[in-house]
Amino acid sequence: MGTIQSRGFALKIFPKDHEPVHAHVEFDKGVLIIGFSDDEVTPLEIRGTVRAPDVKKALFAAAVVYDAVLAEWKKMQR
Amino acid sequence: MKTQARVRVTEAQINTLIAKGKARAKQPHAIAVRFDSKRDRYEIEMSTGGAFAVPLRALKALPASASRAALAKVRVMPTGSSLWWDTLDTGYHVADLEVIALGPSAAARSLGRIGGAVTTAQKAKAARENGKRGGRPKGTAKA
Repeated sequence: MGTIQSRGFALKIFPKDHEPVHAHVEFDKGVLIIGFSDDEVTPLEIRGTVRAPDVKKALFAAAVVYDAVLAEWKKMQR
Repeated sequence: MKTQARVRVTEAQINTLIAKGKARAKQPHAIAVRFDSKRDRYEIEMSTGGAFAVPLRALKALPASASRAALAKVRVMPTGSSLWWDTLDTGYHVADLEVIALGPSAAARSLGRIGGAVTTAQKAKAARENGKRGGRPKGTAKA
């Protein structure tokens, strides 16, 4: 349902969430929110503590599942 | 055809988000959640010491066919801004649960009161400028 796995990262999509299209990636002490639009992935927000190298790794992991995240987003917002 | 998405990010952007993320962690957030199976509701404990509850029937994203065990397997995500049900693979943001608990109009009133009570340099400046023009119009007394 709401989770897409990529390169060891779990990208979580919440039902009835607000635009823009985004996914939440959990870390031990924080959450990274990644935006998906115009064939690009970009970090939108960090809550708590996430290390810079982890942000980059998660972004590259998100880029390869771009289509899957968009499809899941559509499903979860119905 | 599969999209090969680009990664758009700069070091400066990451550093700014990291700094904001640490500040955000100090804001009120959920620290615990419990499914009360007798009352069919979730009780959410906040970092402020307060707590609130949300009825299960109001959480439409949780499948009606879910077992009691799956409904009880809920956890607070890091930083406490969301809840996640691992077995059901779905979640809710705590802010949305607060709106469900209070009702949309009560939640909007609360936010409006909080927003109106905020004092900022811009608001103070605007008040001074308005004062130079004579301030608020005087009310006309009606008998």
